[in-house]
Amino acid sequence: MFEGSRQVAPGDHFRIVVSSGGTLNGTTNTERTNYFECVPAEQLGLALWLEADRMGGLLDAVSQESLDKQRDVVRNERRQRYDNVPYGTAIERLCELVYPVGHPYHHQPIGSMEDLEAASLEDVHQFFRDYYAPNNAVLTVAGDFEPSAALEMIEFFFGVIPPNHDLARIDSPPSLPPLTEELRSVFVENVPNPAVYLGYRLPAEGDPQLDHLQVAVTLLTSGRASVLNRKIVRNELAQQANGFIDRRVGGTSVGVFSVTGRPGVPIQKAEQALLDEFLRLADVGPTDGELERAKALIERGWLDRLSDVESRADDLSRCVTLRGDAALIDNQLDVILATTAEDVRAAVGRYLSAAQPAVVAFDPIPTKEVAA
Amino acid sequence: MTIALRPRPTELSTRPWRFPSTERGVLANGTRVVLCDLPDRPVVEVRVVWSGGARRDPIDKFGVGMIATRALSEGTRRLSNEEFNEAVESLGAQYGFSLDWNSITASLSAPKSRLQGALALLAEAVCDPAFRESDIERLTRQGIVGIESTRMFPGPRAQMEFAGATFLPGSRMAVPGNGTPESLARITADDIRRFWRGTTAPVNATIIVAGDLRGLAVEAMLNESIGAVDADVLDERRTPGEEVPSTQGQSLVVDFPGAVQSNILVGCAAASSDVEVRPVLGLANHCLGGFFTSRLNTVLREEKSLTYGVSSSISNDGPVLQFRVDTAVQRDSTDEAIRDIAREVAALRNEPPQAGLFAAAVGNATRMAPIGFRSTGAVVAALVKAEAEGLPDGYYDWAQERQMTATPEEVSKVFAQHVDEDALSVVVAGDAAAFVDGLRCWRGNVVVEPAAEG
Repeated sequence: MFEGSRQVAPGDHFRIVVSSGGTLNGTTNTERTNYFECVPAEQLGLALWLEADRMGGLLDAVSQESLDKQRDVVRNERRQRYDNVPYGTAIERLCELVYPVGHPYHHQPIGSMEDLEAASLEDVHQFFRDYYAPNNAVLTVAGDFEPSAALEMIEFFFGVIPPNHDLARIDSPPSLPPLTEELRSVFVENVPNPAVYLGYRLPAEGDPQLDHLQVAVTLLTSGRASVLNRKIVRNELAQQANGFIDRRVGGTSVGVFSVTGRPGVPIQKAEQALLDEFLRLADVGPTDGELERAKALIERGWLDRLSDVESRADDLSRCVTLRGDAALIDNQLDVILATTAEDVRAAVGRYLSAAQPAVVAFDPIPTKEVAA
Repeated sequence: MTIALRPRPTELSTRPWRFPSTERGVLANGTRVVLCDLPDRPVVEVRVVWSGGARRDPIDKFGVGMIATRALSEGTRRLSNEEFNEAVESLGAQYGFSLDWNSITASLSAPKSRLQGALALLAEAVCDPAFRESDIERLTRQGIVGIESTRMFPGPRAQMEFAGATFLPGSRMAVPGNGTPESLARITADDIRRFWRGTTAPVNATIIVAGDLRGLAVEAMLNESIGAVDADVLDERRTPGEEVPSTQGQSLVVDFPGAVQSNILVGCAAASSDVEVRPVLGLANHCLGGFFTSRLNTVLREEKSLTYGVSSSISNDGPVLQFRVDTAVQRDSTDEAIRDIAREVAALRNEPPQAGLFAAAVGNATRMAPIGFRSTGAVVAALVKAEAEGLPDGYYDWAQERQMTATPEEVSKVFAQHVDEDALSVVVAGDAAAFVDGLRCWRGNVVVEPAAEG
């Protein structure tokens, strides 16, 4: 998508944006592919033209040669982010346990080396024809512009691109119930210390329990006063303890918690300490202080994202692309702020404490073996 | 049916942009103040910058500065760690301390309505930190484990070794800023207290405040908080020694057998550049490796697909300038990639950059300000940099104007004056067996050390 299009020579897409003072990039996750640029306000037309030219004319520039080059780039990305760094494959392996074989979220968007090798030029062309159509796209513009003039420009550049009348319907996979048995995989690799990653099946976006769990994860993992920092890291049960939720609209989100060990301390102690915190929250719920701090942190994060034009556009885009409602950018925070201690207690009880995790554990290669 | 796509629109001129204006002052205890009013930005950013960073670590206890900055988040004599952090976070505020070679910075951001309370907590952390023995001991233990763990990550390992390759022994900057396990093990709570007491001398300090300051009695708030630091505090920290860049480039490989990629650093250190040439040096970096369509990325990623990305940087750190190229490439292309990097560095030293590349660099450098400085955080970071590097008021506007008048020939000349080919060191973390013979053919002596000790 960045290698040129019908009227944009190879290399010029980046060059045009950058030399106008702008920035650009793209991201892909399991549910949304997002191409974005931030340009000085006067260059809105230029940015729209670039996007329209590649939406309507990308395939003119996608040849076997350009595909082969980009395939190699993605292979290098895979090596850099997954294969050549300790614990780099943790999330990939965890998702393979959380989501069953055949589930669309079983694999990572980057794919395996074998997947990359197998992709043909026709696969890429067909994927583009199937999905990169105006009636499958959400265009979001945030910044300093006059709305009617902007809409006129958008109609001018994009209106000539025909819709895909055979657009495939993308159905959400059914939601998966929490695991009832632990699924554990252990990998002995060249890592500095043991580490454990736990994955839990959580509700989809739109279910308020996911927002209650977001509050729980925040109080557990965010900020220096977080529970895990106090009880695990500062107590030296582990060198690091983290957590996050990968929120998904497609049936089942995933909550990930990790602890990275320190020499001389069995990693099981940190893992148990984490599980004990789930038990505590499920039993008595958060304290008033924990609850209010978590809400303040989430609200502050929301304010920070809205204060920047790029992240505001990204959040609006996500709300519309995945849930069809721009107002969620405000409404979702209301759900968070209305969350009660009992909400947190119930959600943790159902999805973290009573549920079983998928577990990916890393153990260092024994020292004798390394020396040999 | 071919779609009749619209032609490229006429490019419009970007509106003029000037760096936000600032006001300077001095608090009663001698602390310098820089205020930057940015209307309608309800989150206020505060930075307190103290001169003297890791280069002022005691000679046998490198890492004192780093431990001190971490210990400043452990509470005060009045408030435990938990109480302090809860108090800050309950105001919707964020804070932290960071250290570089030449300064320590306290960062605070808070909603305007909570600024006074947040500043009071920051002042308490600065004036009355807990520095409990048990916390210092824990932080040094964690610091040691952190260093030992980080050594197993190829990218950070290459960064750690690069310091020793680009400075002569005896230079503080030849050792990573966080110290070594041995130096950390010697640190005591008294070392931390002594270091921090010297740091907070008001003569060392500048406070920078940016955000919507309308209606705020900022000076009064600052005088009540950071302005309360004792004006007579003596700075008894070690005077920084001389940093001696290595003039003969070295080649070092950290062997990670089986690694599918090689993390590569190529670069050198030199005496810091005059302020007058920094905008032109910035253009040189843009052309070489400062953004996606720079020369290095075009060759290594776009033409040869050896890497996911390659970048370069030129920075002034107090008395020294540091130049480095940073990339990770597929294992079997390691030697080829390093040769390409060396060739492109030589090319920029010897010839002006190609016209299209230069034009893109100037375009980006002179038009990115509305985007690059759109956040309060970015504005305040620029003000911190100006303080740390002694840049004059109005530097950023002047730098843009200077870049608009620069020529490709100047860019090449200034780059060559500050980057010596003979001084270029190469550090690689990767599977040595795959490339070290090829590297030796043209680099000569290549030192190989195993990633794991023992």
